[in-house]
Amino acid sequence: MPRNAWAAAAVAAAMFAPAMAHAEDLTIAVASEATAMDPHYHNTGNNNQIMAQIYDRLINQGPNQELLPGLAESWGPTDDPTVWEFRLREGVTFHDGSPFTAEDVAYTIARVPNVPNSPSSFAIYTADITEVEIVDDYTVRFHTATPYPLMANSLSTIYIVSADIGEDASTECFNDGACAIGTGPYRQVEYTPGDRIVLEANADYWDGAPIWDTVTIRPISSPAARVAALLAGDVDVIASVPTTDIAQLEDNDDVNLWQGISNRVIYLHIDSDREVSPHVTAIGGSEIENPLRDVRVRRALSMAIDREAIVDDVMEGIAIPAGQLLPAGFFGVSDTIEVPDYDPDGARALLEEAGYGDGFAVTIHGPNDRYINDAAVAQAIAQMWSRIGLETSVETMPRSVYFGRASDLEFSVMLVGWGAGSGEASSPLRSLIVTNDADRGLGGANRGRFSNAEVDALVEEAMQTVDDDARAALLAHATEIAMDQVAIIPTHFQVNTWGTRADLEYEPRTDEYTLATSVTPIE
Amino acid sequence: MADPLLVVRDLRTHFFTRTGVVKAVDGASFSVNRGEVLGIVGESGSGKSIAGFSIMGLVDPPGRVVDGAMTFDGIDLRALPDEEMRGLRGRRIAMVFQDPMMTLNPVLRIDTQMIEALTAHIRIGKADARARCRDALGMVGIPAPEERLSAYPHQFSGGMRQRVAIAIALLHEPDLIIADEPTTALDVTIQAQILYEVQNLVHTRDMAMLWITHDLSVVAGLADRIAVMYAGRVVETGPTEEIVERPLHPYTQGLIGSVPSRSKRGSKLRQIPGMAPSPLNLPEGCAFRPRCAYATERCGQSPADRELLPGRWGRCHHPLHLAAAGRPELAKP
Amino acid sequence: MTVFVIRRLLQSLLVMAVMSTLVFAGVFAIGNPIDILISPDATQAEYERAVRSLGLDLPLWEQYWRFLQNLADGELGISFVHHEPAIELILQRMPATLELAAVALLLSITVGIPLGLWAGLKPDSLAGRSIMVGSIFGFSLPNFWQGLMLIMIFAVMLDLMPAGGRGETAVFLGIESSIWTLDGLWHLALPAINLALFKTSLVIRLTRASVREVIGLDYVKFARAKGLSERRVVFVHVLKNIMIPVTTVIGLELGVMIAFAVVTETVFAWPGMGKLIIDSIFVLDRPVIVAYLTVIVVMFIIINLVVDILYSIFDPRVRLADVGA
Repeated sequence: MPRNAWAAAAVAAAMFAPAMAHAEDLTIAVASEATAMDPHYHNTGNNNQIMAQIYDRLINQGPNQELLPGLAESWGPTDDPTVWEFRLREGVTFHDGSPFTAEDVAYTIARVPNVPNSPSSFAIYTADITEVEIVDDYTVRFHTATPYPLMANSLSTIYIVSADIGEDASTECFNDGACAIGTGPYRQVEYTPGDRIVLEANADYWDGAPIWDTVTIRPISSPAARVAALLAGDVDVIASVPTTDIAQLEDNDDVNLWQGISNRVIYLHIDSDREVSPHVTAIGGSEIENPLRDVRVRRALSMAIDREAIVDDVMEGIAIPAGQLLPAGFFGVSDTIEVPDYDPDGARALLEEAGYGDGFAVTIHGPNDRYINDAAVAQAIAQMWSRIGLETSVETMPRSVYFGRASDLEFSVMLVGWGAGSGEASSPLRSLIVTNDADRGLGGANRGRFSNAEVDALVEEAMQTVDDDARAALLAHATEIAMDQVAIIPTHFQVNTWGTRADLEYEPRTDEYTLATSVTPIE
Repeated sequence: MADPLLVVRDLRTHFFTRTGVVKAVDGASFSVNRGEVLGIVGESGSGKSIAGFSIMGLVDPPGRVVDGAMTFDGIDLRALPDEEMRGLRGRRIAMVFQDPMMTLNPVLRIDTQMIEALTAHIRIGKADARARCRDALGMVGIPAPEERLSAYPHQFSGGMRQRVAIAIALLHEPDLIIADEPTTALDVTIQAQILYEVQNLVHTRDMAMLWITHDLSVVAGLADRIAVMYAGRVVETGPTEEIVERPLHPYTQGLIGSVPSRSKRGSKLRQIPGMAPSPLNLPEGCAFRPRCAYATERCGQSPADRELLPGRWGRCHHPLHLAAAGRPELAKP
Repeated sequence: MTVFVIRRLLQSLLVMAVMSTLVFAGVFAIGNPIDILISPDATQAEYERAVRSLGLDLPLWEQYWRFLQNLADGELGISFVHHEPAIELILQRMPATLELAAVALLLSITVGIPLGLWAGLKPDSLAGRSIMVGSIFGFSLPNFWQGLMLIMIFAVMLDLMPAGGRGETAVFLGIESSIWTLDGLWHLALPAINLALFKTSLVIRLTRASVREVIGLDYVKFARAKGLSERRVVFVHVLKNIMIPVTTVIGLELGVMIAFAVVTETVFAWPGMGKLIIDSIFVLDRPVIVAYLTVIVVMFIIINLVVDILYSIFDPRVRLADVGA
């Protein structure tokens, strides 16, 4: 049948189909509230997951952060590698009825770096764009100074707003709702800070009207209270089910649990740079030359960690052991790296070989309120290292204090997590592994000050390589070297758990977002 | 003579505390006639105040009246239901307390405290009530009574407060007033004034008054009859002059003798040797026995209350008039 | 009375000034909020831009000077996290906390005083003893646990009440509050009970102790001697005298309840100020912390003022000039 006939038939069928569109409301409880309703104000998962429902990006991210056409139907570099061309979707309207065109894209890109007082802006994703060229209403070209292979990934983080909101659209304007005009499946109806966000279905959404009529998103920060709200039937979906409640909820027939691996890896930074490290001493406390500079010591430390035990005992099975920066299946991940075996004897042998048969004393520092069971993980690692002859101690602290001090390099061994927002390996490599170079914006989070010229070179080359396969290979190779040299010690990938009513299904996402569009009734 | 207004026979009021039974009143008998002042005299701890409270039904737990009879104008007070007792209190039997500072509620105005005493018993309009209170204040000698009504207790002096208390007691023109050491806390001059006024009131209105005190000299000038209490028991009763001139109980004699005015200037003050027993631990038999110069074996048995001479009652195996007869060295000095 | 009030207000300004300085210095010393807020992907340049835009690169005294200048303009700073004036953030959430505290206060008074009176008048009865034992639980069981228990029992098991959140609001007498709607009250019930538990126990114990103290005093006996009904003796003579210590405690505790209803607000996801302050502390949102504490100081001062004025009403022996000189 000709394409148009199919379309007509589909429309006819939809009109007469029994109400698949449930006239139903959905209430979701999340762990933290959004800091504002301005999609360009604050780049954090809490905010982004709300924005993803009100606005679209040129390129959306699927449940595994794969790149999917959003407001752009197709894209790619032109013959000139410094120019990318995007074909925009036609016939899309904003919530106020105005049509979506290239002008809105240009306006958005111009706005992003200029949002006042943003605590963490999206400018890093638009910084490389030197010019936005409007070719016609539905074609846009982005110019960069040098080849920018991450163009698609970067643009998959930027939410498109309507150019009609005016020159000085402020964050307050978005909070009030007047400027909150997007193209997404839901429109912003109410924003009561600390209490709730209410969204209403956008029946004209280009990808089909959403299932839920009204979505209410409530922040319930106490995990126990969140679970109770689900059990009481006050909410239909909850995010971040605490690991301690999972076993019990699995037995509960009124509740379904949905789990998915996250893009977040939990790992240790190791001070592999300084001659004397502040929290590494001989057993007894006297100063010694920093043993962590020796790769054999680092390998020993990694081998001494029983990752299975951490997953089973500390994380109650809700995690996956990690041997590199991202889980399998992500772009730029190596196929050859395996999770290091638990080998305490081998570790001890390596220490002996490196001249540290007598061991040394080391303190592990970590946050206690940032990652799932973070303090417990640090404790477990410390115990495991004790078994190979090290004298260990653990110091955890609230994240408000921890990150500042960690970035000031006050610590020697640091427990941290990294969630790859772009969904591919260049993100952790460039921030954690590459040699720290503030001027060029590299290695900004490389708190161990690891430095390997070969890795640097590979990553730099990858950043110039527009061909996806070639780039993936380069990133994988860089990762292999980095893991061999133990730039960081990954322990596990977090697994996130969502809870829903018994008659609902949730599609887990690696970016940890909780979206109404991922909730479907079970037929 | 008419029947006594108040008759108390063998009253016993005990306190049941964790450390033991405190026999605060353990055998008190006395009576009061209309138009008469009965003085109840005793040292601290003799149970005289508790006797007064017992009559009013104001003994707080853990104490209660365990035995004895109390009749007021023919009404059996012990058998009376609470609500009816409350009706008597303040209306037919009134009480004046010792410490005027603490008698009046510091956070309520005088008129409030007076008017409520009226409205507790009779229906009366606010204006009338206020007028009556004003008059009552005037009657006890308080100047500018209208302003005083709106004042608070702390704005009065001690003597004034006591007058207010007395005024309150008089509001319903009670048949009996029980005054528990009402002048002890006041200056001597004020004391004298109040004594005078009280005496006046009693005689002009034919009221009965029970004046409880430890000060024999006060009561000697005021009371028609006296009852002496020791260790919870009334040990002697009789007309005032007779008791003072010719005490029959050794304790009474000691009491009279120890009044300072009776000693010659410069000579040692007399005291009764020893101390009053603790009501937790009364000795067997006569409570005064350990301190009594006349005590014998017989005193190991508790003496009953008998009429020793006409109109003179007492608890003693060796009342002085007999003792003196047999033992000349013990005659009054 | 006016002199008294004015003098009080002047003292308050001094307190506020000292307080804001201390808090400012304290939070400054702890750390840099950008470290927590910034996306880890950010470049160093981005980091520095963020620091600069919030003025965090300036030395302490210069930041404080800026703060004072803003203060003179009546502006208590702009939240680092929400990019709204701190004072607006606080005022937005204040009604929720105030209504919660008000209902909790009402509960603690209407439940606490009668129970305390009963326990004081009949201390050895079964009821009296049970009340005292109950009050021990009230203040020794952790607030957090009590809150969760309430939710588990009433929301999950019995499915009678909502598990959290604020109900609908309505405007009455110019005030918007969830007290005016039935749905609002239903949502208020459990968190108010949770917040009131500690305070009710305090009020019960205090009332009982005061009653025990007063009931044996002469003026109570005298009141009875006048033939007053027991009801009048208790509710006029006794009650008026115990109001001073009870008022003091209630007043102080009210301030604490409003300022730090954090646990209750967190457990019940109540959108109030308490939650705002704890979240702000976690991310070192200094303007909000400073603004909040300044507001709290003002509130405590007002409460103390009201309590002192109530003193002079309850106890005529107290003269306002003597109080808080």
